[in-house]
Parts: sequence; C-alpha cells; structure tokens
Amino acid sequence: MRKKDFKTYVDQACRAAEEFVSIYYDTMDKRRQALTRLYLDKATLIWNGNIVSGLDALNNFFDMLPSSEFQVNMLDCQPVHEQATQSQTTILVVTSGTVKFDGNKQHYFNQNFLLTAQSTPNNTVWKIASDCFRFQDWASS
Amino acid sequence: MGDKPIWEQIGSSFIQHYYQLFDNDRTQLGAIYMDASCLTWEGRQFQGKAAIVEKLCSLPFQKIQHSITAQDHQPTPDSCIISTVVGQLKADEDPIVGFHQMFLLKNISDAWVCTNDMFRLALHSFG
Repeated sequence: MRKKDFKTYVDQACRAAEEFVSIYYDTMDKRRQALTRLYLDKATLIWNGNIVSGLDALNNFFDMLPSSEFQVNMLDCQPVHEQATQSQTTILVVTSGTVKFDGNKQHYFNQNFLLTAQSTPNNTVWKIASDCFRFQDWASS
Repeated sequence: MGDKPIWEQIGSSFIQHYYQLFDNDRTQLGAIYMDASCLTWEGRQFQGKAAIVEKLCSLPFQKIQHSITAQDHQPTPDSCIISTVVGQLKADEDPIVGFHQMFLLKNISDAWVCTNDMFRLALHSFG
C-alpha cells in the first residue's frame, strides 16, 4: 500500500463515508428492500439495544421496521489504522440527526458504522460490518 | 456478569475506567491511547496519544461528571470491540447536556487500547 499522509488518508475516508451515508439513508427511506445489500453477510446490528446478526435476521428486521424519514444533521468519520484491520481498508462513521418512523413520534438518533472496503479492479464498494443505532433520547422514550 | 459475552465485559470495563479517569484526572487518560490513535472531538481530528491528551487536558472546565444512559458493545470481524455510549454530562455549573461517544478498542500485548474515539455533544436535546 502506498504511503499517504494522514490528512489525505482522512479526507479520502470522509469522502467515501459521506457518499455511503447518503446512499444508506436514501435506501432506508425509499428502497428499504434493497438495504441489506449494503451489509456484509455476517454483519451485526444493535438497534436500540436489540442484537440482529447475519443477513437473514437483518432482512427480517428491516422488513418489519416501519417506513422511515431520516434527516442526517451530522457525520464524523475516521479511517481505522491499517494495523488494526490486518490491511483491509476500514472506516468508522458516526451519524446523528432525526428520524420519524411511521406511527411513532420523531426521535433524535445516533448511529455508527464500521465499513469495510470490497475492492474490484474498477471500483471500491463499501459494506457494513458493524452497525449500532440508538435514539438519543433513550431514557425518555 | 459471567453470562455476558466477553466483548461486553471488556467494553463495559473500559467504559467505566475511561469515564472514571476523565471525571477525576484527565491527565491519566494517555494510558488508554497509542501513537496511532485518532480522536474526533466535536468534529476536529487529533492524531496520536500526545495530541489527544493535550486536547482533553485543555478542555476548559474544572469539574466534569458523566452519566451513562446506555452502552452497546460489538465485536468486529478482526477481533476489535466497538463500544458506543449515550449519556449526559455536566461541566462546572453549566446545564446538563447530552453526549454520544464511540470507541474502537484493540488488544495489543494483552492490554485493550483505544485506537479510535469519536465524541459529540447532543446540543439539540435540551433546546
């Protein structure tokens, strides 16, 4: 792997993260049936404390989740140091904003993703290895 | 406690240790980071143990107290742990404010260190 300076490394990670986040929430809101394509087969999700593990469970979960309207207000991103991931390119992304699920009141939410790059000769596809979602107002919801 | 998965035990121990250090003596936080660690604090990036500790020690409050509302822990495919915290904090006599923090923990030479740390205040929650 070519050496990059830290800032370039971070900038590239953040651009990938922004693009991924945009696709993720658009898919969640408008093409929910396609959402699990963004996850690795063995991905795990913790949703307000509930563990959902593997594609079958994720498919069931997102199928049952009411329709959503997400508004992302903030995004933070970091590349994971290559030593920590045995040279597989990995980035951490944290998002927050508001969400309204059909039949429920609006909530503030936080979500974090561990994304892993799957590279083909022509491009890089990011997939979710780990996903954690919580309402911010957890104590009062 | 014995029934919890190992990553929950490690993650919750780390969280407890981190906030105890933070609330009582931030100068000791260096031990949990390494030179390759990254911190994103309210959107600004800090790289390396020294820069991180300098940032945390320079935060402008005398007293700080964190209260954890919820925490989640997940193993990653390469045996790291992601720990996520939602809670509230009070700095000096300022109003209580919500926060969210995420840590990536890695086992290096039998010690769990934090390689990635991301913190945000939840300023909207109390408007």
